[in-house]
Amino acid sequence: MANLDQSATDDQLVALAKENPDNFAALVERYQQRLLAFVRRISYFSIEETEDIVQEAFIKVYRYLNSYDDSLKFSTWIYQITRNTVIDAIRQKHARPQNIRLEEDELVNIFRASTDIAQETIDRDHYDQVENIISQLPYKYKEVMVLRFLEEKSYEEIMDIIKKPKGTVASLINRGRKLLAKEATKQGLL
Amino acid sequence: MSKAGSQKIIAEIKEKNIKPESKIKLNCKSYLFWFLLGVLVILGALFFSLVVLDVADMDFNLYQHFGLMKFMGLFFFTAPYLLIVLAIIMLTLGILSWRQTKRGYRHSIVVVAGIMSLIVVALGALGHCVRVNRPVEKGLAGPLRGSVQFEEKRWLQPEQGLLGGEVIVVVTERIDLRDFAGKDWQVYYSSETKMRPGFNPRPGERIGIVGEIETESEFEAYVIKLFPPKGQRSFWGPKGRGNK
Repeated sequence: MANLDQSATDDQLVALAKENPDNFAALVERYQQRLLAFVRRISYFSIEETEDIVQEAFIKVYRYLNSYDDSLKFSTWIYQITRNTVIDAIRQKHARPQNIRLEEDELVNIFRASTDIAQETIDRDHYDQVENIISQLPYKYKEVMVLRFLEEKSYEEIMDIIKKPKGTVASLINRGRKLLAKEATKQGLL
Repeated sequence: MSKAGSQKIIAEIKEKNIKPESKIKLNCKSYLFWFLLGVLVILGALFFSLVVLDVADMDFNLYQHFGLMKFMGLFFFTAPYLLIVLAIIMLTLGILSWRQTKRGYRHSIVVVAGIMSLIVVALGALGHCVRVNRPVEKGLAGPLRGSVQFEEKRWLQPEQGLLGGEVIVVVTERIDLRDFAGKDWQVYYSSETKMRPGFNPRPGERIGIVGEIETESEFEAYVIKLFPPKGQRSFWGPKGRGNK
């Protein structure tokens, strides 16, 4: 099993998980760190809450394994379910998903991708400013920018994860970048 | 999480005896919306074919009598708005159903609306050509009875070329008519007057006339449509003999 875990494709692991829940562990181990990071990046939950959300997402994935079909990549499908779980959790808290928690390098990555600025030019003194600019962006832009620039998903994958047409995804990313660049210019970062 | 995290998840799956749900159960929502979509498209097409049937009653050469502006006015006055609204509602619900199917989110609303409109128009036109709309027109008349009063008011505008009422007497090329407001009229028609094939107005029938006012109580008919008997049918179309 250990060897299989490393070499098996997602689809093979899905087929094995359907036969025996123990086999599902391989999929959990393959994706848990990525999903923990993803949930943290698109929400403001504590570490414990983030782990609970990811755990709930994995249980949903297991429950819905038979609805997975290969018209989507498994990674896209699991991100889609995780994102829905995050949104459910936000709704249960009756809160608006305004804030997200990004680490410094993640902030810089999004900032650079949006403004084409060289990383060296953003020194530590500017992190707070960059964080402030990104946190002021509407959530819908932040979410797609995280998926595009941090999770490195393609437009098609983002379309399937957030369940919006590809044109809408492109437009959200473009508008998000423009808003970010405009605000950065206003604050003298560009 | 890591290894311990995965074991915790597997333990919970086993403890709660969670099983992967069957494919049919998981996809039934999508199947349901596809079914709903089909039903709504068919209904939308039927309503559209009824619109076509109604509009086809209008003689488009009338603009030579009335002039283009007045003809357009008449056209909009007599348009079957309730049917148009119903067709649009079916189309809108169809678009929403499409969006709810498994991959419905992938297409923009404009593309979906365009495709759905084309399908509804094509099926509606086909329905008109194969005359599916005529029995449907009869069948729908009862449920949509509420629109009759509204329609009667629309046909009480003789100055605008619209006159509706009950036939009292029919003589050669003349109909004595009592309009929906109770006023008596003499309506003159000829072989040029457009009526559905086989339809000849008879006393007691309710008709709608598109034409021109001659004097205070005389009206020249260019188009005559049959209204439903009061309290039984909506105005849209002829019942029985004139309805081929």
